[in-house]
Amino acid sequence: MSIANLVPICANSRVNLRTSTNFNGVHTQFNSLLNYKNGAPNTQAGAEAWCAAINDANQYIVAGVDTPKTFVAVSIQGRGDADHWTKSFKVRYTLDGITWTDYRNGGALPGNTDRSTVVTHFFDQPIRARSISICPLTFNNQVALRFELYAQPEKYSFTQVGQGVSPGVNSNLNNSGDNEVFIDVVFPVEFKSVPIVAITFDHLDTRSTNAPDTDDFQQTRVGVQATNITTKGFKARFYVWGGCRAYDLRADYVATTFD
Amino acid sequence: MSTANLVPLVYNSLVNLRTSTNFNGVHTQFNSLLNYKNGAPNTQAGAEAWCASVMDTNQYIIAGSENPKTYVAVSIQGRGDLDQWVTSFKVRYTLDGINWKEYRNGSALPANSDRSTVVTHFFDQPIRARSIEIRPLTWNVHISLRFELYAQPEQHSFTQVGRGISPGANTVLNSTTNTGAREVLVDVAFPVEFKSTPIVSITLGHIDTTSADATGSDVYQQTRVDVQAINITTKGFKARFYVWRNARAYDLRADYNSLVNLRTSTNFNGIHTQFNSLLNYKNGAPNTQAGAVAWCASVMDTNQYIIAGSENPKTYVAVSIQGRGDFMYFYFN
Repeated sequence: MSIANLVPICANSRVNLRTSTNFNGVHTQFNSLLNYKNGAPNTQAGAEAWCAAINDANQYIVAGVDTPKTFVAVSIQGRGDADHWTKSFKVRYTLDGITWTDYRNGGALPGNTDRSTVVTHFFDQPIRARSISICPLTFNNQVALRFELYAQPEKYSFTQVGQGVSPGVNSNLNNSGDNEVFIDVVFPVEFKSVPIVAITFDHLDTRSTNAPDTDDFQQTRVGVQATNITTKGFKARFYVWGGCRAYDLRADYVATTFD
Repeated sequence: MSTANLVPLVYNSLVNLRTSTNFNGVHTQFNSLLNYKNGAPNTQAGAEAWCASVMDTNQYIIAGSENPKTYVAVSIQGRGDLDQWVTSFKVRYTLDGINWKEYRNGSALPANSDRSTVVTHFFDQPIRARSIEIRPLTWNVHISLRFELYAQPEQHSFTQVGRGISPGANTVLNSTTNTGAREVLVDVAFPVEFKSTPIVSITLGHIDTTSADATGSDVYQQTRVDVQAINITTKGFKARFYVWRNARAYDLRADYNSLVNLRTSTNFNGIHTQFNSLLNYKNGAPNTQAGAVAWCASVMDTNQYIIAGSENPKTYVAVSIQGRGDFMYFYFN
């Protein structure tokens, strides 16, 4: 298993981090990234780890994200500038923000044995969560760690819906011949990129003027499609052909972008 | 009113916190959670509160999130390790990130009178915002507070749309010799794989049909055509186009919308023990949250449509209406 093609969400600043306690103002979650270095011999930046102020099994660092992520793995590392590391830890998480679940029923996962070796644990199944908590259980000298969380890449979609797009009653679609009518549709808000638009019928009032006993007598031939799609809107093209006439039509649309 | 079934945003690390000023590096927003304890007699973790470094009415703590939240209540508490607390405060918020509004026109809300009693204010109406600000107006000795923000749980949906699914022209659906129920299955692959199995709505945008029923019969020239999504997986589905009786479809084209609502259930074992082993909630919030298991049990229902109905984000409701449209049965009088 590999962390290639996974998103390192701490490095990418995609999570908010809250800790149980911090040893002081330069031993905070700000220094918790994997391989964090304080610029020694200038050590004003503080500890090369998040370090708790209390050394017991009630300490934790919790990562929260606004939209759910699929967590695949967690990496953990010792403190870079002192012999402090987490020897074992457990993981807890929540998807709905109310109910928390213990990964492996709270079973201990192996952590570190030195300052620098990164230990990576791939979850038995990817964990779908909005908040995930790393909880040290045993530690060497002090509760301290550097870490990373790896999540699957995620797309974000934005959808707008419109109802009641119509060429109007008794339009040119109700005359003989192959006819089309274009209706301008403006999206409620402009999309950030050109969307895909699906448009289909919910009201049909059609008939046909083809001669009896022909192969296409009373054939229903009607369609609607979105054309000239931009970020601001599109033209709904209502059409009939082959003897079909539409007294009235109405369509709804769904427009979506994702990135 | 209760904070049960609400999401504690600070506790869950779901908001970014910015303060006007901090007294020093261990009096920051990092210590601002309700009931935060520094482990005394070891007080290296610092103040049991966020403490400002300037004492005036320009101090604040702002909670921000990427997506809008529906804020239902705010809890506020004094500093745990010294006699410092906020006695009144106001709330400001913004949804678009540009225009700020003052809750109750900026009037003061009552806060604390001691170190530890939690005071909870339920907003007159839930506040929809991306950023919300707590601004102390009066205080005892020093501007210091611990707090929590409670929001409604939120759904997250992801939608993919596809166009122009067609069985092709003049297929078995158009046959006059092979009549009766006929179907054509078309494989559809989603542009990207969903994280869980979606709901798929598929409807017709192009119809070219007729009927071979005999003249004078009750069903003469009856239009009978349908499209539905079957064998739906995270990667795609089969579009099933079918006609029945003597209906004939020369050509059909359909568009689809596929949507996942990602508020899925997980195991609920052990919630009581885990939650109570963490920071103490004195206002009873974890106790009532344990009561929320019953509510959470409804999340275990695999019918995500029902879960969606219990929340109310606007776009989701519109898409769900579309979802009902995946079977079209039309007839002519």
